[in-house]
Amino acid sequence: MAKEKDLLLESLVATAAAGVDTGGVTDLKGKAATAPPELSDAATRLRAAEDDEAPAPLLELLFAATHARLQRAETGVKGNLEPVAEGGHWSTPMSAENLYLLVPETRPFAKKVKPEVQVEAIESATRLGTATDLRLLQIYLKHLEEKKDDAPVADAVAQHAIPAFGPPILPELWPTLGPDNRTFSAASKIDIQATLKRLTEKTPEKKAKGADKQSQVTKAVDKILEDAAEGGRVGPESLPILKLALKYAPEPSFRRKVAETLANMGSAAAEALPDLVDAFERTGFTRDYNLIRPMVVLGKESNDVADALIRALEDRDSTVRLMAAFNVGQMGEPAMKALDTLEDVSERDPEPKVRDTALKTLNKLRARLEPVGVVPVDEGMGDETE
Amino acid sequence: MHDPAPETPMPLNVPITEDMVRGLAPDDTTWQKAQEIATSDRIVQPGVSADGTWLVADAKGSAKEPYHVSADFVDPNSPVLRSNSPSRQTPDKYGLALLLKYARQPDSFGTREPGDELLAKREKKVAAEERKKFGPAAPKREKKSAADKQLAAQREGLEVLDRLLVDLVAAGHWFDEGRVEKLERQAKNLGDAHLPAATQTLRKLLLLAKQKGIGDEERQFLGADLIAQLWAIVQHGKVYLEGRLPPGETQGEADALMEDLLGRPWQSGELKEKGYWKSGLSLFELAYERTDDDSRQQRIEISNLIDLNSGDLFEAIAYRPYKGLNPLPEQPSYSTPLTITEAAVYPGFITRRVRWDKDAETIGRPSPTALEKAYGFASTDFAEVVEQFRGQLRHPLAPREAMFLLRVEQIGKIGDRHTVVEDSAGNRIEVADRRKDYSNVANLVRAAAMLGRDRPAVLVRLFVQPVTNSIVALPLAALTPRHHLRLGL
Repeated sequence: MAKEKDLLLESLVATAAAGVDTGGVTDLKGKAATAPPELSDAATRLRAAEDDEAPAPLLELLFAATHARLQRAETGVKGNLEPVAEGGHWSTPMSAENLYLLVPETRPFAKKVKPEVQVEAIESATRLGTATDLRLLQIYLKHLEEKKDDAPVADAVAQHAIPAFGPPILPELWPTLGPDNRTFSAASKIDIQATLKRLTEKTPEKKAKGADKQSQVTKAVDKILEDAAEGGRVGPESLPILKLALKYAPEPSFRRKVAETLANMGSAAAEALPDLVDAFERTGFTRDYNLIRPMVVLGKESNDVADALIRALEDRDSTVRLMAAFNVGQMGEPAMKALDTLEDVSERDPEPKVRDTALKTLNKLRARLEPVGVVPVDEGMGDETE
Repeated sequence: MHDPAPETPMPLNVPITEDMVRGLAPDDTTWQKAQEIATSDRIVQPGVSADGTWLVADAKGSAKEPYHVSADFVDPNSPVLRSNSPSRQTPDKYGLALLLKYARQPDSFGTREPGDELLAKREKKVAAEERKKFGPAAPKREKKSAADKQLAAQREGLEVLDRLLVDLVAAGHWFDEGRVEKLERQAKNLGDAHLPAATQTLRKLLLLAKQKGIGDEERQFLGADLIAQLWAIVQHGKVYLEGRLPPGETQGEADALMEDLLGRPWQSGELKEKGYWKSGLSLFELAYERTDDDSRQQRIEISNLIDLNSGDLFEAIAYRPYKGLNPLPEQPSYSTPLTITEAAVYPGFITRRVRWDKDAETIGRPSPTALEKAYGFASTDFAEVVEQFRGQLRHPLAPREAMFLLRVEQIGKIGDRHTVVEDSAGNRIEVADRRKDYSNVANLVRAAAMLGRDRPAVLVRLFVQPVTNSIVALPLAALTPRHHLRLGL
């Protein structure tokens, strides 16, 4: 809405702001000659005033002019009205007393509510179902933008308050979604699939920032692992991104971190096994021996894992062969498929250590075929190879 | 029969000559102007006091009302010339003209006594001189009552403000560093003058000087608007102090302004006596606001209430000074309807303040009918609402805001920048925020997505945006017979 034109008022403001003593009132007196009827009394007095007395009638006219302008104040905006799209469900259940614990103080020198009190307020409101108060949403969203690592209130918001809103809140999160920020933590807690989809979507902005899919995924997983390291846990909801990470992660150390996380999840991560095997098989010139142990932990009875390990017994890298030879012995029934290859490796592998380990595993597996009561071959290999 | 002989006034105790008056003139120009005034008919009703120590007159100048001019001869060797003209010379041309007129035409002076204000000033001056002369051993003067002291302080404060305003307009450059420092000192001194509205407006000017993210032109315009408001406050204040009402103003309007203008807080007894009282209120809180007002140096907590019997909107308010905030109780917020046996309803304009004693209050149970009733009271015609608001704005010192409950047909956006509410006749009001760090409008848009189809009632605070001169609405709550969303902090 543009500022309306009022030449007399403009002249009054300019004259008063410049100072009557320096700027004089000649121009203003000219404008006052055409003052509208409701201002004419004050305007006449100003025009009749000597310069040293002009401030008084000027003030009177200034007030009259601003007041007259106020009477002309208008409402309404012209143009096509685009109705707000329907959707969402909101409530404002929180009591004022609790609400203002979470509202930042604007009063100068105000005593701030302690972070621990705020965290407690968020946690208890989440338990009581009052954390999802519409009035707090903007405050929560601001917390998510907090850059400091050590921000317990922001963490509580990301971990508890925002996820409590559920999926309808996700569109509010997308604008600030990044792979390694608190918005990601909050959004992934609500719907990891949707979050990942959003995160890995190609947008012109992301392109401009050089944010490729690989780096987005890496950062996002880092964030999840970081959250887990700070006392959280990685649950099955994170499996999709961990699977993506196995696919895109370029660094062996990072892949290992992901694989170990999966292994620590136990049977909950079983669905990630094919991705793990795939990652193991196609890591490049040689296989990544760091993935062997997590594969075996998750897929002790998996034929795919056994097959992968049998193939790994012929890898170019002797460490891979050594690890495969040992770990195949840790597997269940599918390990028996490796007997022939192990025999071959125990005789022909160029590395004595590999030959030795293959032989031990071979004996161990053969022992399983012996009747019960036969003492198995010593299993002390673990210390040497790990 | 013949006319009675004209009363012979007491002569002044001191002989005055033209040379003596000329010696008092600060410069030749003032002297010349004083001579012109003395020979004109601009000195009106000149008089000498019965004790011969005062000359008093009115003088026609450029202001609407004549100036009061006086010469105090309590010390015959150094007369004190006073005038409330806007001239910045001391003594000014009117004071000199008064003396000159007496020197030339003593017979034109009748008998006229100085007002209380002048007597108080003389007393103060004499006391100061005695203190200077005798130190702490100065003779004790008669003690004044607290009310008299307050009155004197207010009179003096208004005079100071009058001069300050003239000075602001005469010298300009309101936001220069030196000027701001001076204003800060003056604002501080005004703290003892019991003129809350004036002090707050002056503080607003100071805050405007420091406000960031605002252009020079806008700052200048807003500054001029505040100076104009301050002028109106001073003029009204003076009239109220004289125990009069400004022309065209009702007692109710004056009652509404008196508290802020002259710092006279209402006592329950007074309100009841004057009829500002209601019984049997059935209140329901629609919204609750907490704002920090740096110009008032107060935290303001408002419970926005509707009377379910009449549909009247009220505000229960706690003003809590920044200094000493904790000892003052918070304004409670209510999630259920409450019944009030009797309450003071302050004089005011559209939105009235309400206050009650704790033992007059009964807090009820949550009730779905409360929402239904409140919703039923929403105004369906925005044009009527705006006209009512404009009526309030006609009063020069009325608040530039008022609360309304609007039945909204549609909530939507016009372009990227404007969100509006529209009634069934297509009348629109733009919704806008007042604070920069929080958006009630954003919450209204979210609420509209949920309730828009049900033609919600929206509680708004209409206010005027000074730069664009538009009436806009701050949304406070949205409700339907089934849902109630509070939209602000």
